[in-house]
Amino acid sequence: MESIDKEQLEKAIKALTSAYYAKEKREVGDLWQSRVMGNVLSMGPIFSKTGYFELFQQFVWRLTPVTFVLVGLLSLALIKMDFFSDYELTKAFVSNSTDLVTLAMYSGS
Amino acid sequence: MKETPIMFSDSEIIRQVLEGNVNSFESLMVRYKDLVLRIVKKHVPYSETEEMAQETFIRVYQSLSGFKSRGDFKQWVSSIAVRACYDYWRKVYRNKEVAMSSLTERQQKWLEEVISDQQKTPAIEEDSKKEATELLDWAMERLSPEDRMVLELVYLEGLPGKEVADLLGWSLANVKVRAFRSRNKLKKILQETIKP
Repeated sequence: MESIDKEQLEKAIKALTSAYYAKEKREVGDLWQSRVMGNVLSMGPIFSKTGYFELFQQFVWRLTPVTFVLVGLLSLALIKMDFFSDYELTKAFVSNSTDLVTLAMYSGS
Repeated sequence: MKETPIMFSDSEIIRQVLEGNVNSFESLMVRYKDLVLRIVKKHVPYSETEEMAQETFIRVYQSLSGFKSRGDFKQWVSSIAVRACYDYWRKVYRNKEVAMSSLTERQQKWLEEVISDQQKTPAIEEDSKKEATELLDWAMERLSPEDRMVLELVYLEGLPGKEVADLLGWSLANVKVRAFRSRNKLKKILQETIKP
C-alpha cells in the first residue's frame, strides 16, 4: 500500500474518532475537587473588578438628572436676577456721555 | 461548604462568589466538573487529567469577574478548559518534553486493516481499542499543539469552525486554514506508517 486516498483517510479518522471518545470513559478520582476548593479558599475572595472607564460611565449616568435639575435652577435664577452682562453695562454708560464721568470715577482714573 | 442550594442559577452563584462568598464556588464546580473532565480527558494524557481539571477551575475562579452575565457560562467554562489544554501542549512542546513513542507492528497492522476494510465505517473490536488509542496518541505527538487542537476539535469531535474559533479564541479563517493543513499532515503521517 503506497498512498492513502480520501476514502481511506476518512475511515482512519472515523476509527481514530472512536478511540478519541473512548478516552472520556477513563475514571478519575474525586480528590482533585477538594484540592481546587482548598486553592480557591487560600486565594481569598475576588471582588468584581470594575474598570475606571466603566466606573466613570456609571457615575456620569447617575449624575445626569442632577445636572438637568441644576441647569434648570441656574437658568431660572439668572432670569429672576435680571442679569446684565459687562458688555451691556458698558454700552449703557457709553451711550450717555454724562455717565462716562461716573464710570471714570468708579474705575479710579 | 455546601450552603448554596442547587436551585440557584449560574449568574446568582457567580454574584454570590463575587460578593465574597467563596464557598459558593463549589456549587459551580459540582455543576460543571463533568463537562470539564470530559474535555480534558480527551485532550491531555490520562496522567494529567486531574491536574488540568484543577487548573481549569482555578482559571475559572480567577477570571470570574470578567464573565459577562448575559453570556453562556457553559461555553465560557468549555473555552477555558480547551485553552488550558492547549496551553499544556504549548508548554510541553516548548520544554521539549514530548515523549515520541514508536509504532509497533500491531498498531501498523491495525491501521492497514482499518483502511482496507470494505465497510465505510469500520467497526472497532474491543480488543483492538488499545491499538487505536496508541495510534491516535502516536499520530498526535507528531503534530504541533495548534494542529493537534484543531484536528481533535474539528475532525475528531466534529465541531463547527465557528465554535472551534470561539473555544480557542482564534479567527474563523485561522481555524479553517489550520484544519486543512492538519488534516494533510495527519494523512502524511498515516501514509508513512503504512509504507511497505
